[in-house]
Amino acid sequence: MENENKYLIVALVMGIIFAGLGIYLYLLDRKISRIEQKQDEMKNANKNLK
Amino acid sequence: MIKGLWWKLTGLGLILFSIIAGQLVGVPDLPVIRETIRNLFYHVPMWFTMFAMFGTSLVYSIKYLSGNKLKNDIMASESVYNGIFFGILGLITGMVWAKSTWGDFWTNDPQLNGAAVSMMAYLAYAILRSSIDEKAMRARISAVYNIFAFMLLVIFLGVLPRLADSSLHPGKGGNSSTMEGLDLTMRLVFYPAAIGWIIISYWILQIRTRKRRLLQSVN
Amino acid sequence: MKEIKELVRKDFLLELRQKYAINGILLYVVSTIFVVQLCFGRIIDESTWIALFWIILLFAAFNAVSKSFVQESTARRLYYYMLAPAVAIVISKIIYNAMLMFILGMLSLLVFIVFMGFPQFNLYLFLPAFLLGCIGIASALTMVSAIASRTGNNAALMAILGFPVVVPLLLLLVNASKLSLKSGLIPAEILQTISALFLIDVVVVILSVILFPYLWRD
Repeated sequence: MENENKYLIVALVMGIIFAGLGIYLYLLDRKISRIEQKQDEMKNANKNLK
Repeated sequence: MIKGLWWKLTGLGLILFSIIAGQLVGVPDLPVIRETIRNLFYHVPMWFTMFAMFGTSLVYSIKYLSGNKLKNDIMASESVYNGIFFGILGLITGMVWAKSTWGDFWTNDPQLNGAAVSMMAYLAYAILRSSIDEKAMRARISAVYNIFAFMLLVIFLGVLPRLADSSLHPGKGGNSSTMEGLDLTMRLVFYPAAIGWIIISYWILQIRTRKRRLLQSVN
Repeated sequence: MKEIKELVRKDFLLELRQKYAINGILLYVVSTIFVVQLCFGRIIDESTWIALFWIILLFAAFNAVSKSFVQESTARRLYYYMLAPAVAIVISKIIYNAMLMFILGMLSLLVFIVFMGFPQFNLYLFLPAFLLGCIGIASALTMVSAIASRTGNNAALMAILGFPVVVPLLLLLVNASKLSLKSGLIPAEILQTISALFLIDVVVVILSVILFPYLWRD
C-alpha cells in the first residue's frame, strides 16, 4: 500500500511541475498574441493615414 | 484569443496523461531494468522530439536555399535550438537511467556515440551562425552546413549500429529488448507521450519564431 | 571536364611551388610518430596502433585540407567564378585533396611501419578501407573548409565544424581496422564494411556537388 502511494506522489509532483510549465507556455502565447494584434492595428492605422 | 488552442491543449493533455499514467500503470517485470522501465515514457520521447525538430530544420533549410526567404531561415535556426534543448533533456534522462541500470553515466554504445556526435554537429551549427554577421550570408551558409551534417548523421546512425556487435539498447545483443516486448498498456502510454511532446515542441517553436519576428519588426 | 583537369593541375603546381606547406605537414607527421615511438616503444598493442595512426592522419588531413579554400582571395574567387562552373571547382578540389590525402596517408603509413612495426592486418580489408577513408575524409573536409572560408575566423571554425562531420567516418575506419585484425574473416564481412564506407563517400561527394554552388555565389 505504501508503495502505491509513493508512485502516486511522484506522479502528482511531476504532473504539477508540468502543469506549471503548460500554464507558463499559455501565458507566453497570450502575451505574444496581444503584441501581434497591437502591431497589426498600428500597421492598419499607418495605412489609413497614407 | 490564442490561435490553434485546441491542438496545444491536446498536446498538454496527452503529456499530462502520460506522466501520471506512466507512474501508475502496471509494467512487465524485466531483468535488470525492473521498475526503471517507466523511464521509457520520459526518455525516449525526448529523442523522438529532437529528431522531429532537426527534421523540421532540414526542411526549412532546403526551403531557404530554394527561395531565399529569411522567414524560412528563422524557422530552421529556431528549430535547431529547440532540438538541442530536447536533446539535452534526452541526454540527462538517459544518463540517469544508465547510471541505475548499467552502473555508469556514460558507456561506449553506438546509440550514445550517435547522440554525442549529433549534439556536437548542432552545437557547431549554433557556433557557425554566431560567427557570421551578414544576415543573408549567415542564412545561406548555415543552411548548407545543416543539410550536409544532417545527411551524414542519418547515414551514420543507420550504418553504425549494424556494424557493432553489441549494444545495450533494445533490439541488439543479448539484452532484454524493451521495444519488442512493449505490451499493450505500455504502448497506450508511450505513444501519447511521444505525440504529446512533439506537439508541445512545435508550440514552443511557434512561440520562439513569433518572438523573433516581433523583435525583428521592432528593430 | 577540361576545366576540372586544368584546376587540378593548377592546384598541384601551386603546391609544388610553395613546398613549405606539404613539407610542414610531412614534418608534423614524422615528428609526431617519432614522439609516439619515444613514448610507447616499438612494441605496442594493436588497438593503440590503430588509434594513434588515425589520430595522426586526421590532424594531418585537417592541416592539409583547411588551406584549400582559405588561400583563395576574394579577387581570385571572382576570377574563378567567371572562368569555371562551381561544380567543376568543387570536383577539382575534391580530386586534388583526395590525391593529396592519399599521398600523405601512404607516406605516414610508411613512416609508421618503419618506426612502429606493422600489425597483422588483413590487407584485403585494410587497404581498400584506408583508400576509401582517405577519399571520404578529404572530400568531407573540402566541403567544411569551403564553409569555414566564408566566415571570419576560419581556423577555429574548421575544427569545430569538421569534427562532427569526420567523427562518423573515423569511427567506421577504426572499426574496419579492428575488424581486419581478426583471423578467419569471411568475404561477406569485408564487403559489408567496405560498402558502408563506399556509401558514405558517395553521399559526401554528391552532397558537395549539390550544395557547393550555394556557397560559391555571392
